[in-house]
Amino acid sequence: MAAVTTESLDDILDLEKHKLSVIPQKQATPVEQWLKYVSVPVGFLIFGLLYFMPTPAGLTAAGQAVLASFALALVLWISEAIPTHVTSLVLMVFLVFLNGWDMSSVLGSLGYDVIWLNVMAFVLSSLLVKTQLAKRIALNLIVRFGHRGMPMLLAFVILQLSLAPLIPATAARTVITLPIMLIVAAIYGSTSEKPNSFGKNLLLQNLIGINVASSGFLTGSTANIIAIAFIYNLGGTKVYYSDWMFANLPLVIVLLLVTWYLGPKLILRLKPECATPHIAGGIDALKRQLDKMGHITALEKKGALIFGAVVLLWVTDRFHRSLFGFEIDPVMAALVGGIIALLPRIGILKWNEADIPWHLMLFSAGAYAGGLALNDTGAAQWVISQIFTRLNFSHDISFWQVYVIVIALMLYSHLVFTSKTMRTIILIPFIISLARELGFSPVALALPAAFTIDWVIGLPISAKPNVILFTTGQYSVLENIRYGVIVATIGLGLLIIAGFTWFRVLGITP
Amino acid sequence: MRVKLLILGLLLAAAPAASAAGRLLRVTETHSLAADGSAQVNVQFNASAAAGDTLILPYAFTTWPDTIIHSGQIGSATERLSHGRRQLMLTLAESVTVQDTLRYAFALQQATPLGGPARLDFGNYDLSYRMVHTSAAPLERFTVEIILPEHFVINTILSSTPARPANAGTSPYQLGMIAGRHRVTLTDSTVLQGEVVALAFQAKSGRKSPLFIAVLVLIAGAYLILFRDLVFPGRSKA
Repeated sequence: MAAVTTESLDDILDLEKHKLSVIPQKQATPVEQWLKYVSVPVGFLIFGLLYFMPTPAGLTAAGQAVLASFALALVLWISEAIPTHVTSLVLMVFLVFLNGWDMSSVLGSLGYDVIWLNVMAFVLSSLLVKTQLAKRIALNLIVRFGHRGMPMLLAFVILQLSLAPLIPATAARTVITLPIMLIVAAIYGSTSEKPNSFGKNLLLQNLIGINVASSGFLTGSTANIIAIAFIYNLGGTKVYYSDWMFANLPLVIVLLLVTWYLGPKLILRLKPECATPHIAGGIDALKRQLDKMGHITALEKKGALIFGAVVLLWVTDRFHRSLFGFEIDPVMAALVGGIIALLPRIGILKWNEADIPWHLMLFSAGAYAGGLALNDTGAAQWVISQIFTRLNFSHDISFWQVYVIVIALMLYSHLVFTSKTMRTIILIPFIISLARELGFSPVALALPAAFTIDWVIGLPISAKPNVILFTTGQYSVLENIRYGVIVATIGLGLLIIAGFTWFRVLGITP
Repeated sequence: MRVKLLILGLLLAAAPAASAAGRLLRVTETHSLAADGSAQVNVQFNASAAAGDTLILPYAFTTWPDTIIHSGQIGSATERLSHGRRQLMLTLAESVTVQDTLRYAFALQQATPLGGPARLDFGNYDLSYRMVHTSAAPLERFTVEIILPEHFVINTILSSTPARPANAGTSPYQLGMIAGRHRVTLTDSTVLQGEVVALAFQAKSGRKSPLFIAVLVLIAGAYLILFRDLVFPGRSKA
């Protein structure tokens, strides 16, 4: 074990020396090297096939161009043949040059609320780092749970599950916990320059925890609410908050626990040398470090106050209208926090101290432009309708066959869609009409499918937390896919089992 | 400024209240466009009217067709100008019920800009359709199908009335193909007096330059050579 000396402990715990805005240079494995090498011709081949095929019925020429460009970008994102943010820029250029989407829409993606949320999230995250609040919380967590890797990972699972009902915005939860994750990872010897299996598991488990925990609650995301509206308006069944929670929360807990256990054992094996803190003197040294920090400082209190105010706004969103007469969006809450943090004399941060990874913003902007162009041109809907048409369900098909196919389609479709809302808008009505056509209860298919809306865990572009966590440089796109797809498949298995058992008890499935 | 060219528009109305009025129920228009800018328009509709009743259908083309071919129930089809608006006046030869389908068709030269040079980027042509329902009686169902010339594709649907709802999986317009030609069909139901059914879209030739394929092959080939050191460490970059 390469334990570090206590002299460098301060360096490890000082996140200001591990800036997210600096892209780390990493050595790719031989497999990754090969992937990089073949991905450009393979990507071009896929692009060429999609772009040059005769425009199929039901698809616009713009939709075809977007589909081909997005497929190319997807290959390049996965292989990282060129940096992910450069791929995003390539995608944006292709969208415009191939007449897929207009320039103002493409460039406008950099002004989306998600980008603003990301920028402010990193300002607030920098606040936690500068005040040493993140360090104190992380040290406390480690001293209590961090003797071994597995309990430490479990502590984060519990943390994310606890935060989910309080703070619906997944990006907000990511921001709160990100600096803590980074310090814990660093203590276990995992940095962006030299990530190890603990850091990978920690970040990816949190990615899954943040996203999947949202599906335990009806208010976990706007897309959940849209799905319920469809089920009510098109399917005729009212689903209440408690119905959703009783049905899906147990599944979420089981899935997160299974992931916690299997992730470090099977998916990305936690090596024994990475399973303990990489600090000479071990936990005792960290205890000493915590003691050395002394009582909470005035700066920490000030930081906690600013951050706490933002969190309070996030937590109380459902009461905003009665309190203020309007609802404060999570982005605006973060913006207010960012302003206070950056105010001279009143605030804590100087602009230069805010660690904002702008390459992430470009990456996000490209991904959102591609995703929204897919929706806007009708290409995403066309792909889904083609899949349903090709499946050609006959009327003598059993409910369970349709159930498995529909859930799988809903679950894995997040690899193509970058917006949960769009995925819901396109897929849930399809599923309800399919159920009606085949004579099944719409809720029996649509509700379990809706439970997977937030399971957007397969790619860094699949959701806001994924994008933010990816900037840490602790894992590659391929590792994200591996972890995400395996966990999604476990989730599919759980949903199938639940369909036969738990959902039957609740009267959801026949 | 986007050049908006009205290609086809039929303002539908039942006979004026003063006349012995027939009532239109369902109308389907099919516009088959040709690459030279001409169009063949086929309209079929169901109406409830007595023999001798007149159905007035405003007509928004800038030129009149040479001939209007119509089904036997329609005695005559003549053009007229009313308040500066072109209209088609159909006089029925016999009584019709809602079960009867009436048809008329005409051909027009220079009905669309497709015959001329493309003035927009990427070779796009702006095409639009607009119908205003002026009759007091609601139209049960209105459908317009626009079929593009061979080798033409729809690039973008710019707008539609009724609009595609933001939070719904359904769309008032459908894209498809018929006999190897791309088409778009817009449908609206229960069209009330004064309501508009409209569609604006861009279309262009579906042919793509083979030069682009060559460029892609060249880039892919160059990448394989320049980046071969990724997998063959001994071979340095070119």
